[in-house]
Amino acid sequence: MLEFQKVTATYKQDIGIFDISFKLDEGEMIFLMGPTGAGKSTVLKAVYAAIGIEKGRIIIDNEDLTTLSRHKIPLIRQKVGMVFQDFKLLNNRTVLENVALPLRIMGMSTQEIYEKVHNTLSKVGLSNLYKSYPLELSGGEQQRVCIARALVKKPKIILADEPTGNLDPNVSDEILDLLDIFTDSGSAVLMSTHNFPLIKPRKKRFIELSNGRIID
Amino acid sequence: MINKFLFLLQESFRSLIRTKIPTMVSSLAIAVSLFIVSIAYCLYISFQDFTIDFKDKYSIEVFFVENLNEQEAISEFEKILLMDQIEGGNFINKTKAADIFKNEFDEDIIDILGENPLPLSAIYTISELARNYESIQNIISNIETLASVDIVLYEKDAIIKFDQLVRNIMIFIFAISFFILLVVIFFVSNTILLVIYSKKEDIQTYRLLGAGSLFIKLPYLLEGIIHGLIGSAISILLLFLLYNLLQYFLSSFLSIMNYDFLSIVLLNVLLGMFLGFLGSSKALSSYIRD
Repeated sequence: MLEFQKVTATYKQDIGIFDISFKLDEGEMIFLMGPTGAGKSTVLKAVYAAIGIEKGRIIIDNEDLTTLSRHKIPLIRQKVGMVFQDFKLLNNRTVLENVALPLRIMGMSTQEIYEKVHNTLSKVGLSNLYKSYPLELSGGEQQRVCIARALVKKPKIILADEPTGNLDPNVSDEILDLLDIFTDSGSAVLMSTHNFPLIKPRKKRFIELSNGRIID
Repeated sequence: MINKFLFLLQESFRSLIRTKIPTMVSSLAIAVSLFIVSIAYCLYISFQDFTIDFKDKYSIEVFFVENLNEQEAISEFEKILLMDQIEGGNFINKTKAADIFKNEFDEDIIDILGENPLPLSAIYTISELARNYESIQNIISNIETLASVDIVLYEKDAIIKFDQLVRNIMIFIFAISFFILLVVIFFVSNTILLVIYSKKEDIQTYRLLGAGSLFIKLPYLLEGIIHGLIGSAISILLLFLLYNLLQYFLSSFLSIMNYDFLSIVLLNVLLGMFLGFLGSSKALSSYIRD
Protein backbone atom coordinates (compact mmCIF):
# COMPACT_ATOMS: atom_id res chain seq x y z
CA MET A 1 0.00 0.00 0.00
CA LEU A 2 2.88 2.35 0.90
CA GLU A 3 6.48 1.58 0.22
CA PHE A 4 9.65 3.59 0.79
CA GLN A 5 12.59 2.36 -1.31
CA LYS A 6 15.90 3.87 -0.19
CA VAL A 7 14.39 7.35 0.07
CA THR A 8 16.55 10.41 0.69
CA ALA A 9 14.96 13.84 1.09
CA THR A 10 16.77 16.80 2.59
CA TYR A 11 16.05 20.40 3.53
CA LYS A 12 19.62 21.54 3.95
CA GLN A 13 22.86 19.65 4.02
CA ASP A 14 22.64 16.78 6.50
CA ILE A 15 19.11 17.66 7.63
CA GLY A 16 16.34 15.40 6.39
CA ILE A 17 15.92 11.66 5.89
CA PHE A 18 18.46 9.31 4.33
CA ASP A 19 18.14 5.94 2.67
CA ILE A 20 14.79 5.11 4.30
CA SER A 21 13.13 1.85 3.30
CA PHE A 22 10.00 0.27 4.76
CA LYS A 23 6.63 -1.08 3.71
CA LEU A 24 3.18 -0.36 5.16
CA ASP A 25 0.55 -2.98 4.36
CA GLU A 26 -3.23 -2.80 4.25
CA GLY A 27 -4.76 -2.62 7.76
CA GLU A 28 -1.35 -2.16 9.35
CA MET A 29 -0.35 0.50 11.87
CA ILE A 30 3.27 1.57 12.10
CA PHE A 31 4.72 4.01 14.62
CA LEU A 32 7.62 6.22 13.62
CA MET A 33 9.64 6.71 16.79
CA GLY A 34 12.47 9.02 17.64
CA PRO A 35 13.43 12.27 19.35
CA THR A 36 12.66 15.72 17.99
CA GLY A 37 14.61 16.29 14.77
CA ALA A 38 14.97 12.58 14.04
CA GLY A 39 13.09 12.94 10.74
CA LYS A 40 9.66 11.50 11.67
CA SER A 41 7.70 14.43 10.26
CA THR A 42 9.92 14.48 7.18
CA VAL A 43 8.96 10.89 6.40
CA LEU A 44 5.29 11.91 6.54
CA LYS A 45 5.97 15.05 4.51
CA ALA A 46 7.62 12.94 1.86
CA VAL A 47 4.42 10.89 1.59
CA TYR A 48 2.19 13.92 1.07
CA ALA A 49 4.75 15.52 -1.24
CA ALA A 50 5.53 18.52 0.92
CA ILE A 51 9.24 17.87 0.41
CA GLY A 52 11.09 16.90 -2.73
CA ILE A 53 12.60 13.42 -2.95
CA GLU A 54 16.23 13.35 -4.05
CA LYS A 55 16.84 9.63 -4.22
CA GLY A 56 14.79 6.48 -4.05
CA ARG A 57 11.09 5.89 -4.70
CA ILE A 58 7.85 6.14 -2.77
CA ILE A 59 5.06 3.91 -4.02
CA ILE A 60 1.52 4.75 -2.88
CA ASP A 61 -1.25 2.45 -3.97
CA ASN A 62 0.85 1.26 -6.97
CA GLU A 63 1.67 4.83 -8.02
CA ASP A 64 5.23 6.12 -7.98
CA LEU A 65 5.12 9.44 -6.14
CA THR A 66 8.58 10.45 -7.30
CA THR A 67 7.59 10.53 -10.98
CA LEU A 68 4.32 12.43 -10.45
CA SER A 69 4.04 15.91 -11.93
CA ARG A 70 3.37 18.84 -9.59
CA HIS A 71 -0.23 19.29 -10.63
CA LYS A 72 -1.02 15.70 -9.59
CA ILE A 73 0.14 16.26 -6.00
CA PRO A 74 -3.36 17.40 -4.87
CA LEU A 75 -4.77 14.10 -6.16
CA ILE A 76 -2.31 12.14 -3.99
CA ARG A 77 -3.22 14.29 -0.99
CA GLN A 78 -6.88 13.59 -1.63
CA LYS A 79 -6.14 9.86 -1.36
CA VAL A 80 -4.37 10.21 1.98
CA GLY A 81 -5.95 11.15 5.31
CA MET A 82 -3.87 13.46 7.50
CA VAL A 83 -3.96 14.08 11.23
CA PHE A 84 -1.83 16.87 12.69
CA GLN A 85 -0.50 17.65 16.15
CA ASP A 86 -1.88 21.21 15.90
CA PHE A 87 -5.14 19.89 14.34
CA LYS A 88 -5.12 22.48 11.51
CA LEU A 89 -8.85 23.04 11.84
CA LEU A 90 -10.52 26.13 10.41
CA ASN A 91 -11.60 27.96 13.54
CA ASN A 92 -14.30 30.00 11.83
CA ARG A 93 -16.05 26.87 10.53
CA THR A 94 -18.27 24.45 12.41
CA VAL A 95 -17.22 20.88 13.07
CA LEU A 96 -19.50 19.78 10.24
CA GLU A 97 -17.91 22.23 7.80
CA ASN A 98 -14.39 21.21 8.84
CA VAL A 99 -15.07 17.53 8.35
CA ALA A 100 -16.86 18.22 5.07
CA LEU A 101 -13.92 20.15 3.62
CA PRO A 102 -12.04 17.23 1.94
CA LEU A 103 -15.29 16.13 0.29
CA ARG A 104 -15.94 19.72 -0.89
CA ILE A 105 -12.48 19.68 -2.44
CA MET A 106 -13.36 16.43 -4.18
CA GLY A 107 -16.52 18.06 -5.55
CA MET A 108 -19.20 15.87 -3.92
CA SER A 109 -22.81 16.96 -3.70
CA THR A 110 -24.05 18.56 -0.48
CA GLN A 111 -26.45 15.71 0.30
CA GLU A 112 -23.75 13.07 -0.12
CA ILE A 113 -21.37 15.14 2.00
CA TYR A 114 -23.85 15.51 4.86
CA GLU A 115 -24.51 11.76 4.94
CA LYS A 116 -20.81 10.89 5.03
CA VAL A 117 -19.95 13.59 7.58
CA HIS A 118 -22.71 12.56 10.00
CA ASN A 119 -21.68 8.90 9.68
CA THR A 120 -18.05 9.71 10.40
CA LEU A 121 -18.85 12.05 13.28
CA SER A 122 -20.91 9.33 14.93
CA LYS A 123 -17.95 6.94 14.57
CA VAL A 124 -15.64 9.34 16.42
CA GLY A 125 -18.32 10.15 19.01
CA LEU A 126 -18.98 13.76 18.03
CA SER A 127 -22.49 13.47 16.57
CA ASN A 128 -23.99 16.07 18.85
CA LEU A 129 -21.16 18.59 18.44
CA TYR A 130 -21.45 19.07 14.68
CA LYS A 131 -22.64 22.66 15.03
CA SER A 132 -19.83 23.65 17.41
CA TYR A 133 -16.77 25.64 16.45
CA PRO A 134 -13.29 24.16 17.10
CA LEU A 135 -12.40 26.70 19.77
CA GLU A 136 -15.46 25.65 21.77
CA LEU A 137 -14.08 22.09 22.00
CA SER A 138 -11.43 20.45 24.20
CA GLY A 139 -8.06 19.38 22.73
CA GLY A 140 -9.19 15.76 22.57
CA GLU A 141 -12.42 16.71 20.79
CA GLN A 142 -10.53 18.87 18.32
CA GLN A 143 -8.24 15.94 17.53
CA ARG A 144 -11.31 13.74 17.01
CA VAL A 145 -12.59 16.33 14.52
CA CYS A 146 -9.22 16.20 12.80
CA ILE A 147 -9.40 12.38 12.66
CA ALA A 148 -12.98 12.55 11.35
CA ARG A 149 -11.79 14.95 8.63
CA ALA A 150 -9.06 12.47 7.68
CA LEU A 151 -11.43 9.49 7.68
CA VAL A 152 -14.45 10.99 5.97
CA LYS A 153 -13.03 10.35 2.49
CA LYS A 154 -12.28 6.72 3.43
CA PRO A 155 -8.54 6.93 2.68
CA LYS A 156 -6.40 3.85 2.27
CA ILE A 157 -3.59 5.50 4.22
CA ILE A 158 -3.80 7.75 7.28
CA LEU A 159 -0.76 9.81 8.20
CA ALA A 160 -0.74 11.06 11.77
CA ASP A 161 1.96 13.54 12.76
CA GLU A 162 2.31 13.51 16.56
CA PRO A 163 -1.50 13.42 16.95
CA THR A 164 -1.23 13.06 20.73
CA GLY A 165 1.51 15.67 21.19
CA ASN A 166 -0.80 18.27 22.70
CA LEU A 167 -3.06 15.91 24.63
CA ASP A 168 -3.01 14.45 28.13
CA PRO A 169 -2.27 10.67 28.50
CA ASN A 170 -5.89 9.47 28.87
CA VAL A 171 -7.08 11.38 25.83
CA SER A 172 -3.97 10.25 23.91
CA ASP A 173 -4.91 6.63 24.55
CA GLU A 174 -8.44 7.28 23.29
CA ILE A 175 -7.08 8.83 20.10
CA LEU A 176 -4.79 5.84 19.51
CA ASP A 177 -7.74 3.49 20.10
CA LEU A 178 -9.71 5.42 17.53
CA LEU A 179 -6.95 5.19 14.92
CA ASP A 180 -6.51 1.50 15.74
CA ILE A 181 -10.20 0.82 15.11
CA PHE A 182 -9.93 2.18 11.59
CA THR A 183 -7.14 -0.22 10.69
CA ASP A 184 -9.75 -2.98 11.10
CA SER A 185 -11.58 -1.62 8.07
CA GLY A 186 -8.42 -1.93 5.97
CA SER A 187 -6.95 1.57 6.35
CA ALA A 188 -3.23 1.67 7.04
CA VAL A 189 -1.90 4.12 9.62
CA LEU A 190 1.56 5.67 9.73
CA MET A 191 1.94 7.64 12.93
CA SER A 192 4.88 9.61 14.25
CA THR A 193 5.40 10.03 17.97
CA HIS A 194 8.19 10.57 20.45
CA ASN A 195 6.08 9.20 23.31
CA PHE A 196 7.38 5.64 23.68
CA PRO A 197 5.43 4.83 26.90
CA LEU A 198 2.20 5.58 24.98
CA ILE A 199 2.84 3.04 22.23
CA LYS A 200 4.78 0.45 24.24
CA PRO A 201 1.68 -1.46 25.46
CA ARG A 202 0.36 -1.76 21.91
CA LYS A 203 1.71 -4.70 19.99
CA LYS A 204 2.49 -2.76 16.82
CA ARG A 205 5.47 -2.48 14.55
CA PHE A 206 7.56 0.62 15.04
CA ILE A 207 10.41 2.18 13.14
CA GLU A 208 13.00 4.06 15.13
CA LEU A 209 14.66 7.04 13.52
CA SER A 210 17.72 9.00 14.54
CA ASN A 211 19.36 11.80 12.56
CA GLY A 212 17.15 10.98 9.60
CA ARG A 213 18.18 7.31 9.44
CA ILE A 214 16.43 4.12 10.50
CA ILE A 215 18.05 2.45 13.49
CA ASP A 216 18.10 -1.31 13.14
CA MET B 1 -17.66 20.54 -11.02
CA ILE B 2 -20.89 22.50 -10.40
CA ASN B 3 -20.81 21.44 -6.74
CA LYS B 4 -17.26 22.75 -6.45
CA PHE B 5 -18.11 26.04 -8.16
CA LEU B 6 -21.18 26.60 -5.98
CA PHE B 7 -19.13 25.90 -2.88
CA LEU B 8 -16.39 28.32 -3.98
CA LEU B 9 -18.96 30.99 -4.82
CA GLN B 10 -20.43 30.51 -1.35
CA GLU B 11 -16.91 30.80 0.08
CA SER B 12 -16.41 34.12 -1.74
CA PHE B 13 -19.60 35.60 -0.30
CA ARG B 14 -18.72 34.26 3.14
CA SER B 15 -15.32 35.93 2.87
CA LEU B 16 -16.95 39.21 1.79
CA ILE B 17 -19.06 39.21 4.91
CA ARG B 18 -16.07 38.37 7.11
CA THR B 19 -13.82 41.01 5.59
CA LYS B 20 -16.31 43.88 5.49
CA ILE B 21 -13.80 46.72 5.79
CA PRO B 22 -11.38 45.57 3.05
CA THR B 23 -14.40 44.84 0.84
CA MET B 24 -15.79 48.32 1.47
CA VAL B 25 -12.44 50.04 0.87
CA SER B 26 -11.71 48.11 -2.30
CA SER B 27 -15.25 48.56 -3.69
CA LEU B 28 -15.15 52.30 -2.96
CA ALA B 29 -11.78 52.64 -4.70
CA ILE B 30 -13.22 50.87 -7.75
CA ALA B 31 -16.36 53.02 -7.55
CA VAL B 32 -14.38 56.28 -7.48
CA SER B 33 -12.19 55.21 -10.39
CA LEU B 34 -15.18 54.05 -12.44
CA PHE B 35 -16.96 57.32 -11.69
CA ILE B 36 -13.98 59.36 -12.93
CA VAL B 37 -13.44 57.12 -15.96
CA SER B 38 -17.16 57.34 -16.82
CA ILE B 39 -17.02 61.13 -16.69
CA ALA B 40 -13.89 61.04 -18.86
CA TYR B 41 -15.75 58.74 -21.25
CA CYS B 42 -18.71 61.17 -21.42
CA LEU B 43 -16.30 64.05 -22.06
CA TYR B 44 -14.64 61.98 -24.76
CA ILE B 45 -17.99 61.25 -26.44
CA SER B 46 -19.09 64.90 -26.23
CA PHE B 47 -15.75 66.08 -27.51
CA GLN B 48 -15.85 63.60 -30.37
CA ASP B 49 -19.34 64.83 -31.36
CA PHE B 50 -18.08 68.40 -31.23
CA THR B 51 -14.99 67.46 -33.28
CA ILE B 52 -17.10 65.76 -35.94
CA ASP B 53 -19.35 68.85 -36.18
CA PHE B 54 -16.34 71.13 -36.43
CA LYS B 55 -14.46 69.01 -38.97
CA ASP B 56 -17.56 68.87 -41.19
CA LYS B 57 -16.62 72.43 -42.04
CA TYR B 58 -13.15 71.47 -43.34
CA SER B 59 -12.94 72.29 -47.07
CA ILE B 60 -10.44 72.87 -49.86
CA GLU B 61 -10.79 75.70 -52.35
CA VAL B 62 -9.31 75.07 -55.81
CA PHE B 63 -8.77 77.87 -58.37
CA PHE B 64 -8.32 76.84 -61.98
CA VAL B 65 -5.86 78.48 -64.40
CA GLU B 66 -7.19 81.44 -66.41
CA ASN B 67 -6.92 79.91 -69.90
CA LEU B 68 -9.51 77.16 -69.16
CA ASN B 69 -13.03 77.66 -70.44
CA GLU B 70 -15.96 76.65 -68.25
CA GLN B 71 -16.46 73.25 -69.94
CA GLU B 72 -12.78 72.34 -69.48
CA ALA B 73 -12.87 73.54 -65.87
CA ILE B 74 -15.95 71.38 -65.16
CA SER B 75 -14.15 68.37 -66.58
CA GLU B 76 -11.12 69.12 -64.30
CA PHE B 77 -13.51 69.67 -61.37
CA GLU B 78 -14.94 66.18 -61.94
CA LYS B 79 -11.46 64.64 -62.13
CA ILE B 80 -10.66 66.01 -58.68
CA LEU B 81 -14.06 64.91 -57.41
CA LEU B 82 -13.12 61.30 -58.25
CA MET B 83 -9.94 61.45 -56.17
CA ASP B 84 -9.72 59.34 -53.00
CA GLN B 85 -10.70 61.08 -49.79
CA ILE B 86 -12.77 63.76 -51.58
CA GLU B 87 -16.33 63.51 -50.31
CA GLY B 88 -18.11 66.10 -52.47
CA GLY B 89 -17.71 69.43 -54.16
CA ASN B 90 -19.30 72.48 -55.73
CA PHE B 91 -18.20 74.04 -58.98
CA ILE B 92 -18.16 77.84 -58.94
CA ASN B 93 -18.42 79.49 -62.33
CA LYS B 94 -17.78 83.18 -62.94
CA THR B 95 -21.43 84.18 -62.32
CA LYS B 96 -21.55 82.31 -59.02
CA ALA B 97 -18.19 83.82 -58.04
CA ALA B 98 -19.56 87.30 -58.74
CA ASP B 99 -22.60 86.53 -56.56
CA ILE B 100 -20.32 85.42 -53.72
CA PHE B 101 -18.27 88.61 -54.16
CA LYS B 102 -21.44 90.67 -53.96
CA ASN B 103 -22.60 88.85 -50.83
CA GLU B 104 -19.27 89.36 -49.12
CA PHE B 105 -18.39 92.92 -50.19
CA ASP B 106 -21.80 94.30 -51.10
CA GLU B 107 -20.41 95.49 -54.44
CA ASP B 108 -20.94 94.29 -58.02
CA ILE B 109 -17.54 93.45 -59.50
CA ILE B 110 -18.69 94.11 -63.09
CA ASP B 111 -19.88 97.60 -62.05
CA ILE B 112 -16.45 98.29 -60.54
CA LEU B 113 -14.18 96.78 -63.23
CA GLY B 114 -16.46 96.58 -66.25
CA GLU B 115 -15.76 92.87 -66.56
CA ASN B 116 -15.64 89.73 -64.36
CA PRO B 117 -11.99 88.75 -63.73
CA LEU B 118 -12.86 86.18 -61.01
CA PRO B 119 -11.41 82.74 -61.80
CA LEU B 120 -13.32 79.50 -62.19
CA SER B 121 -13.04 77.56 -58.92
CA ALA B 122 -14.39 74.73 -56.83
CA ILE B 123 -14.92 73.93 -53.17
CA TYR B 124 -14.42 70.35 -52.02
CA THR B 125 -15.43 68.64 -48.79
CA ILE B 126 -13.21 65.91 -47.39
CA SER B 127 -14.25 62.38 -46.42
CA GLU B 128 -14.55 61.80 -42.66
CA LEU B 129 -11.41 59.68 -42.22
CA ALA B 130 -9.22 62.23 -44.00
CA ARG B 131 -10.20 65.21 -41.88
CA ASN B 132 -6.74 65.72 -40.39
CA TYR B 133 -3.74 67.81 -41.33
CA GLU B 134 -1.60 65.00 -42.84
CA SER B 135 -4.36 63.63 -45.08
CA ILE B 136 -5.44 67.10 -46.23
CA GLN B 137 -1.82 67.86 -47.09
CA ASN B 138 -1.71 64.67 -49.21
CA ILE B 139 -4.91 65.59 -51.04
CA ILE B 140 -3.57 69.06 -51.78
CA SER B 141 -0.27 67.69 -53.13
CA ASN B 142 -2.25 65.45 -55.50
CA ILE B 143 -4.43 68.34 -56.69
CA GLU B 144 -1.45 70.64 -57.16
CA THR B 145 0.13 68.21 -59.64
CA LEU B 146 -2.69 68.97 -62.08
CA ALA B 147 -1.72 71.56 -64.75
CA SER B 148 -5.26 72.96 -64.75
CA VAL B 149 -4.97 74.03 -61.10
CA ASP B 150 -3.62 77.47 -60.26
CA ILE B 151 -3.91 77.71 -56.46
CA VAL B 152 -5.26 75.49 -53.68
CA LEU B 153 -6.36 77.17 -50.48
CA TYR B 154 -7.38 75.78 -47.11
CA GLU B 155 -7.41 76.83 -43.44
CA LYS B 156 -3.98 75.38 -42.72
CA ASP B 157 -3.25 77.01 -39.34
CA ALA B 158 -6.71 76.42 -37.94
CA ILE B 159 -6.61 72.74 -38.96
CA ILE B 160 -3.14 72.21 -37.46
CA LYS B 161 -4.13 73.88 -34.20
CA PHE B 162 -7.40 72.06 -33.95
CA ASP B 163 -5.79 68.69 -34.70
CA GLN B 164 -3.19 69.33 -32.01
CA LEU B 165 -5.83 70.38 -29.52
CA VAL B 166 -7.91 67.26 -30.23
CA ARG B 167 -4.84 65.06 -29.91
CA ASN B 168 -3.75 66.65 -26.62
CA ILE B 169 -7.19 66.41 -25.08
CA MET B 170 -7.56 62.76 -26.11
CA ILE B 171 -4.09 61.91 -24.75
CA PHE B 172 -4.93 63.69 -21.50
CA ILE B 173 -8.23 61.81 -21.09
CA PHE B 174 -6.65 58.44 -21.87
CA ALA B 175 -3.58 59.08 -19.70
CA ILE B 176 -5.68 60.12 -16.70
CA SER B 177 -8.02 57.14 -17.12
CA PHE B 178 -5.12 54.73 -17.55
CA PHE B 179 -3.31 56.10 -14.51
CA ILE B 180 -6.43 55.90 -12.33
CA LEU B 181 -7.08 52.32 -13.45
CA LEU B 182 -3.49 51.31 -12.67
CA VAL B 183 -3.71 52.84 -9.20
CA VAL B 184 -6.96 51.01 -8.55
CA ILE B 185 -5.58 47.65 -9.71
CA PHE B 186 -2.67 48.17 -7.32
CA PHE B 187 -5.07 49.16 -4.54
CA VAL B 188 -7.44 46.22 -5.05
CA SER B 189 -4.48 43.87 -5.32
CA ASN B 190 -3.14 45.01 -1.95
CA THR B 191 -6.55 44.75 -0.32
CA ILE B 192 -7.02 41.19 -1.59
CA LEU B 193 -3.44 40.42 -0.53
CA LEU B 194 -4.35 41.49 3.03
CA VAL B 195 -7.36 39.16 2.91
CA ILE B 196 -5.13 36.34 1.65
CA TYR B 197 -2.55 36.96 4.38
CA SER B 198 -5.27 36.84 7.02
CA LYS B 199 -6.21 33.39 5.72
CA LYS B 200 -2.77 31.95 5.06
CA GLU B 201 -3.24 29.17 7.63
CA ASP B 202 -6.56 28.21 6.06
CA ILE B 203 -4.87 28.16 2.65
CA GLN B 204 -2.15 25.87 3.98
CA THR B 205 -4.82 23.52 5.39
CA TYR B 206 -6.65 23.54 2.05
CA ARG B 207 -3.42 22.59 0.29
CA LEU B 208 -2.69 19.77 2.73
CA LEU B 209 -6.18 18.39 2.24
CA GLY B 210 -5.60 18.14 -1.51
CA ALA B 211 -6.96 21.40 -2.88
CA GLY B 212 -5.44 22.37 -6.21
CA SER B 213 -4.32 25.88 -7.13
CA LEU B 214 -7.54 26.74 -8.92
CA PHE B 215 -9.65 25.65 -5.95
CA ILE B 216 -7.61 27.95 -3.71
CA LYS B 217 -7.47 30.86 -6.14
CA LEU B 218 -11.04 30.88 -7.41
CA PRO B 219 -12.73 32.28 -4.25
CA TYR B 220 -10.31 35.23 -4.26
CA LEU B 221 -10.80 35.84 -7.98
CA LEU B 222 -14.56 35.76 -7.48
CA GLU B 223 -14.16 38.03 -4.46
CA GLY B 224 -12.25 40.54 -6.62
CA ILE B 225 -14.97 40.38 -9.27
CA ILE B 226 -17.65 40.93 -6.62
CA HIS B 227 -15.69 43.96 -5.31
CA GLY B 228 -15.78 45.22 -8.90
CA LEU B 229 -19.52 44.66 -9.18
CA ILE B 230 -20.22 46.46 -5.91
CA GLY B 231 -17.94 49.30 -7.04
CA SER B 232 -19.72 49.55 -10.39
CA ALA B 233 -23.12 49.64 -8.68
CA ILE B 234 -21.96 52.54 -6.49
CA SER B 235 -20.47 54.33 -9.48
CA ILE B 236 -23.65 53.92 -11.57
CA LEU B 237 -25.71 55.28 -8.67
CA LEU B 238 -23.39 58.30 -8.32
CA LEU B 239 -23.49 58.93 -12.08
CA PHE B 240 -27.27 58.71 -12.09
CA LEU B 241 -27.46 61.21 -9.21
CA LEU B 242 -24.97 63.52 -10.91
CA TYR B 243 -26.85 63.33 -14.20
CA ASN B 244 -30.14 64.19 -12.52
CA LEU B 245 -28.53 66.97 -10.53
CA LEU B 246 -26.96 68.51 -13.64
CA GLN B 247 -30.17 68.11 -15.57
CA TYR B 248 -31.97 69.99 -12.82
CA PHE B 249 -29.50 72.87 -12.73
CA LEU B 250 -28.18 72.85 -16.31
CA SER B 251 -31.05 71.34 -18.27
CA SER B 252 -30.48 73.50 -21.35
CA PHE B 253 -26.80 72.49 -21.52
CA LEU B 254 -27.51 68.81 -20.99
CA SER B 255 -30.21 68.69 -23.60
CA ILE B 256 -27.52 68.80 -26.28
CA MET B 257 -25.70 65.82 -24.76
CA ASN B 258 -27.21 62.59 -25.90
CA TYR B 259 -25.52 59.91 -23.78
CA ASP B 260 -26.32 56.26 -24.13
CA PHE B 261 -26.78 55.43 -20.43
CA LEU B 262 -26.89 51.68 -21.16
CA SER B 263 -23.39 51.77 -22.64
CA ILE B 264 -22.16 53.70 -19.58
CA VAL B 265 -23.75 51.08 -17.29
CA LEU B 266 -22.12 48.31 -19.34
CA LEU B 267 -18.78 50.11 -19.26
CA ASN B 268 -19.01 50.36 -15.47
CA VAL B 269 -20.03 46.74 -14.91
CA LEU B 270 -17.48 45.21 -17.29
CA LEU B 271 -14.62 47.50 -16.30
CA GLY B 272 -15.46 47.00 -12.59
CA MET B 273 -15.35 43.21 -12.96
CA PHE B 274 -12.16 43.45 -14.97
CA LEU B 275 -10.47 45.70 -12.38
CA GLY B 276 -11.49 43.39 -9.52
CA PHE B 277 -10.30 40.34 -11.46
CA LEU B 278 -6.95 41.94 -12.38
CA GLY B 279 -6.41 43.19 -8.81
CA SER B 280 -7.03 39.78 -7.27
CA SER B 281 -5.00 38.01 -10.01
CA LYS B 282 -2.07 40.27 -9.22
CA ALA B 283 -2.40 39.53 -5.49
CA LEU B 284 -2.66 35.80 -6.11
CA SER B 285 0.30 35.70 -8.47
CA SER B 286 2.47 37.33 -5.83
CA TYR B 287 1.28 35.03 -3.02
CA ILE B 288 0.13 31.70 -4.40
CA ARG B 289 2.42 29.98 -6.84
CA ASP B 290 1.22 27.06 -8.97
